[in-house]
Amino acid sequence: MANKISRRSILKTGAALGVIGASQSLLPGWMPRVAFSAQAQTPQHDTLVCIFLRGGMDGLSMVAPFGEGAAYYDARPTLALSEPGSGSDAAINLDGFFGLHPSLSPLKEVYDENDLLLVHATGLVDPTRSHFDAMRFMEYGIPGDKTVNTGWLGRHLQTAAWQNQSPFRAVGMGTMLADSLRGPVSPLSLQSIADFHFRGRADQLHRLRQSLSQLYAVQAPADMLGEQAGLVFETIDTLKQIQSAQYQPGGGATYPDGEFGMGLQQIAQLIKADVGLEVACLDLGGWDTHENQGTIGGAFADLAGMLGRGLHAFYTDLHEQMGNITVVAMSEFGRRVSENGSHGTDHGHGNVMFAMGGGVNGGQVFAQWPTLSPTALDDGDLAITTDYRAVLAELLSNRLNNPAVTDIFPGFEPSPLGLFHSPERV
Amino acid sequence: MKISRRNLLAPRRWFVMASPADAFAEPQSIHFLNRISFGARPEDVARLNTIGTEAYLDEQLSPDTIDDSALDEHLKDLAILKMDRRAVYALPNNEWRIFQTMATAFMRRAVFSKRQLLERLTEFWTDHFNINADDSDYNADLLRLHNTIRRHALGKFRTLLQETAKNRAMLIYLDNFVNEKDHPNENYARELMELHTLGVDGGYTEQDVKAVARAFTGWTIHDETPDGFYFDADMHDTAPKSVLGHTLPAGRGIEDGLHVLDIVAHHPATARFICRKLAVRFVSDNPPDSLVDAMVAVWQQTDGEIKSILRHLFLSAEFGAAMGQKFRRPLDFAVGAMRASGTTVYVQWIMEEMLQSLGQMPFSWHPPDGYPDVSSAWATTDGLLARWNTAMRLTHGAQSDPEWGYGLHTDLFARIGTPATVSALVEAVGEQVFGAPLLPSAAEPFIDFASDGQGGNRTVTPHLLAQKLGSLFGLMLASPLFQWR
Repeated sequence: MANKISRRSILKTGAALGVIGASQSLLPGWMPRVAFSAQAQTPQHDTLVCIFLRGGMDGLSMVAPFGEGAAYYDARPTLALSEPGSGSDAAINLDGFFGLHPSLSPLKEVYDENDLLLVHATGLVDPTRSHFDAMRFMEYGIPGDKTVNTGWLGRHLQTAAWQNQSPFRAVGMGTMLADSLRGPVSPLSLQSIADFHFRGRADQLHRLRQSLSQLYAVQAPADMLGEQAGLVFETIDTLKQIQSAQYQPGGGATYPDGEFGMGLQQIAQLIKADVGLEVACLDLGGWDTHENQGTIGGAFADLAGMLGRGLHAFYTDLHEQMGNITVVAMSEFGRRVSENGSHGTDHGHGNVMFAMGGGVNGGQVFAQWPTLSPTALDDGDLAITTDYRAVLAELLSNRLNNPAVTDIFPGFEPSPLGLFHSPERV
Repeated sequence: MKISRRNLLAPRRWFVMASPADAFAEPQSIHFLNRISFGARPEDVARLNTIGTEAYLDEQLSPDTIDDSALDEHLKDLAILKMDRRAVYALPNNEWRIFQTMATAFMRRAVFSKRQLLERLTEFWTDHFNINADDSDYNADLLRLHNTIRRHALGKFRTLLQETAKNRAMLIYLDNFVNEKDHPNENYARELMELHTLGVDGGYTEQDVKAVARAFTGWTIHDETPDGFYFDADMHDTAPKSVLGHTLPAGRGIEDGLHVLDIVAHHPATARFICRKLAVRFVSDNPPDSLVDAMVAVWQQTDGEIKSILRHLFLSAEFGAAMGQKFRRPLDFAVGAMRASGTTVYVQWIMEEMLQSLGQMPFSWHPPDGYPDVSSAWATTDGLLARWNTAMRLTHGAQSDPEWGYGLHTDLFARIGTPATVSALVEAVGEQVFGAPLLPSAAEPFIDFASDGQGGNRTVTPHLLAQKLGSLFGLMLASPLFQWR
């Protein structure tokens, strides 16, 4: 099936508006979906959790190049992390050159297990410093092209060589759907598993639901709402089966409070429930630290702490299954090398990406490090020496079993970087 | 044979609606009112039929001529609205209280104001000049800006632009208050051009961003001035600058920033960017170029006067052809549902809970681009379920369920008269929800529900009303026909 889809049709699906298109299900709505994942006792591909850090996360604080010496410390008199071992705001040593932000300390053990990979000096090669353009290019996956209206994950799901009719195939946690998921496979948006049920007058609930579903069949123009309505009902029914009031994360894991932590926990629940989840997207926003960014205290540290504790809880909760799960986190751009006059940083360029999972070649900071010397910078910003698509291309072919990388990232020639193991070698 | 799910679910006798225009006898009236207001009301349809579209439109375009004193009754308990900004900042916990007041006032104005088009424009500009209020220390100034926007919403764009540039909330939100000659901060300069005026494709360069930032150095805040704005000459970069091909000579002060506002307000890309946004708001997600071109021409002739541009829009053929093409955003849905059902929410946290579940809390969008305005952003599974549940809560819940209806007040019985048959009942409820009764073919599914399959001639008894009235209202509000306008 993958071979028959032309590139044109992959990129521009449905109406020009980027409307979430029709799923291909020919099966009656009452058929239980939970069976679909059972085809893979040994899964053909990892479950992917894709986290977008919105606002331009400061990679130079997340994974600090303390080994640069003056080039780092002179540029960031109030924001630099101290060298490892030198006090409370010291970076956690990773490899003698790079150090991890102290708020990410829960992840050090994951790094030491070789299940956490950090890629530095990576990102979107397009020169834009606009949040909205950068996010759009990164999520749609074709930098510079504003006509495309499918996301890289949407194209991955479309070109994958297997069928998965589960309504949970692609899930976006939260109220707004990530652009990366846009495509012919209708993603499910989910705020809360516990709250996802239809409520009406108790003695008429069945009749109301029937009327509603009939209304959406006769009144919904152009199929979009009708498909969404169908998905809602299927999801309600499935979630009823897996809903448990007191979910106990495995291994004593504690997810941080808040939307991000709860989002990760619910993704974990869906994975354990075997409902056919392939891709889950989740946001953590607020990284646009133009002023008073702080080092070990402040806005950046709070967010980094949420990210670190959340990822660690997820890793612990799903420990036995992490061989078939990969988590990636990226941001639309990094931030300037030099701090600004308000103890913050402005929009930059090169950044850090995270990858976590059993199939990740972790325990390293991978970078073709351009250095922070002024002549090596890109207009004052960390240069990009590894296109973010190279990281994702290897993820797609080695962990997601999808070799159609040139359809997913047209115009991009990936080269192997050795960041993800092929399944046989795990 | 391919069996589509559609055929499995729809009884063959039911009429499949090709377009919302098939649901009403006078679809153009419904369409017009749904776009210039937050939802067509039967009394508005009656007035429209009496005075005609142009007169109705001209009335709405001159809001000062419309008596809105009834609205004041609904706002009188919001004391903060009448307080001076320094008095407000002196209140304990003022940021949260102002936020609640603003959100409540927004909802009540949208539901009850007779100056509906003015409220729609106020919402439009609030999105356009987005500032979030849920996590900030400038809310009294944001409230002031919101009211200023309302005053100028139908006037000249240049006026609006200047009010936003000098507002203390905007200066803080986009960091211009720390923009100074030795350490310029580019955030406001960039968003001014990318989001407020030219648009990201408007043709400005990174050099322009840097120059505009320098032009606005010194535009900062101060605790002692009446409105919180202060131009600090010591912070200002007086060197010459070149912005979008214009020269800003050396040695000037606040004039640099004012000059930039003139340049960007009058740039041709700005006219296009804003006219297209207005067309997306009021016509369709992908408005025809012919309409945008014509609106731009009006912009040039009137120097960016919004009411003239809108007059053209609402009388255009492109507008007339666009019925049912805009998807109600969650706030639109909530306001529309409240107008339709007459339900009021008198407990603040209930309103907040409802709007959070729908996915759109006023003044809570953090990035400066404002809430998206296309259907693909809002037509999600979670959002759809939240609408169905909200529809039921505002109707059946409010009418008959003490627990679920807590914090809500309604009287659905008072809105429907005394229909004798289920057909008449559905007609009456339909008129309240949509502004006009549904044509028999569109009414079928609702008649089926309300009569338990027995048909429109079934007699309406008090028992039937008690059983079905709330849910019938709710079903109409949850239906696809109500999601599209």
